[in-house]
Amino acid sequence: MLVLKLIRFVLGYVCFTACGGFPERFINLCKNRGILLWELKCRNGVIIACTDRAGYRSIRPVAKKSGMRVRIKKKYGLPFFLNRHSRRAGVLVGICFCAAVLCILSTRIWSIDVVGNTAVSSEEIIGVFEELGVKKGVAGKKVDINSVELSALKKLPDITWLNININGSAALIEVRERVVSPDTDDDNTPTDIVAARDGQIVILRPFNGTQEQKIGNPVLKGDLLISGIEENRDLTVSFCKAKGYVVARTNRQINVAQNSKITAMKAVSEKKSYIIEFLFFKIPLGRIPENAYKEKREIFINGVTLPVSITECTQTVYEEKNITLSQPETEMLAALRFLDRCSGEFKHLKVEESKLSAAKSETACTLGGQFVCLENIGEERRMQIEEIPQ
Amino acid sequence: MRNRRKSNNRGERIIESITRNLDLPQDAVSGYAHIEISGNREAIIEGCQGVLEYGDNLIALNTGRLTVRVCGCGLTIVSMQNGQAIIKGTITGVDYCN
Repeated sequence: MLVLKLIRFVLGYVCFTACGGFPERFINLCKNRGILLWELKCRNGVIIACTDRAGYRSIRPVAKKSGMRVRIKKKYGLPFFLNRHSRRAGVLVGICFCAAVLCILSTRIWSIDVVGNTAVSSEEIIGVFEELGVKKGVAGKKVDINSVELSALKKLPDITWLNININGSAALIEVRERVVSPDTDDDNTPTDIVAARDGQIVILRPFNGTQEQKIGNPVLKGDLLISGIEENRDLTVSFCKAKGYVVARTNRQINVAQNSKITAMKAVSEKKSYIIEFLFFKIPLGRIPENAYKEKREIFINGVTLPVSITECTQTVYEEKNITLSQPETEMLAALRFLDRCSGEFKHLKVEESKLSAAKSETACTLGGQFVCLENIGEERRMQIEEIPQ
Repeated sequence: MRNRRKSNNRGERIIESITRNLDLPQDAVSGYAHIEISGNREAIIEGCQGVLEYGDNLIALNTGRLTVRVCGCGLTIVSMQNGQAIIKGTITGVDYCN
């Protein structure tokens, strides 16, 4: 029925009323003369019906014969619309312009997306493709996909495979990144493992080399823990790369002092301006400062990227200011700095015991912490070997 | 005249008996109208030869041998072409008369 309605709309049809006379005779005469009637209603002796344009032209004699008066209620369809607006040149020009814009833009690339990348940024990949001619506004059919793919692979060493799919006005670049093989320890330079911090050994596991300390021994920074010199059965020695891990109980101290008077940068003024981008045309709205922070916003409709984007440029002027914090603010800032240092230092170790202290005054706040930790203190140190010429 | 009517009746009877014995649809051979009614909203009448009466509450159609009268309210002939009439509206009854 939708197709029928569409055909009727394209060909145009007339809705009319017919009153007086003999409705039955009118309908039968229409049927006999091949005049199509549909949506035929009879309300209080008045017939309301629809017919096509040709049918309406030949309905007058039928109406006259059946004694009915026919009057047009409304004309529907494209021919009537075009006839009504034929004198409006602007509409015609607008329709032609719209059609031309649609025809031209539908062959151009509007958006470029990259999928499958983690290590190599999308901007880098898009940048390489833009150098090779695949950029917004370029006709999709003119892109030589095979040569572009080969050239892009040469320019992107961390990409092992890539494929560009141009679907309508969207270009989708699929990539597979190079998987870096894990480092194999091929370096056989003789090394020792020494203590990186003072502490008491809790766990000692040598995998290669000679154990020099025992569990429970206190060690100082730089003490030898696992030696890279191995004694053979024939009492000769050979050098190797010492391997193993040594966990020791260590002491750490963190102190943070925060003054209530601080100097900070404060935003004084903020100025915004916009740039409208249409494919490769940029239209700045106002003066764009050089050092402005730019944020680009793409416009989507139903998940389809339009070739228009708006870039918001924000220029913020900062001024150095002396600020006096209140006591709670000072304490909070001190606590934040303390936590920040703790999270940095205790990333790879386990805290066994902790003792926290705080000293507050009107102008300052000092936070301190003493921690007993378990951590790997083993550190590689290259051996100094001198070859004696024989 | 009487002889012709007699021969017509005999011919009809023969056709009817053949149709019945061969399980053929009645409307295909004997010239009856084929009527399909969907609920009380739509009636499709095939074999329609003309409109005898047309109103909001009654539509009478000539189907050759019979006159089909569709009663109801808000009745509309949605389309009428190639001997097929589609009537829509609230149908309350369908009558047949010779």
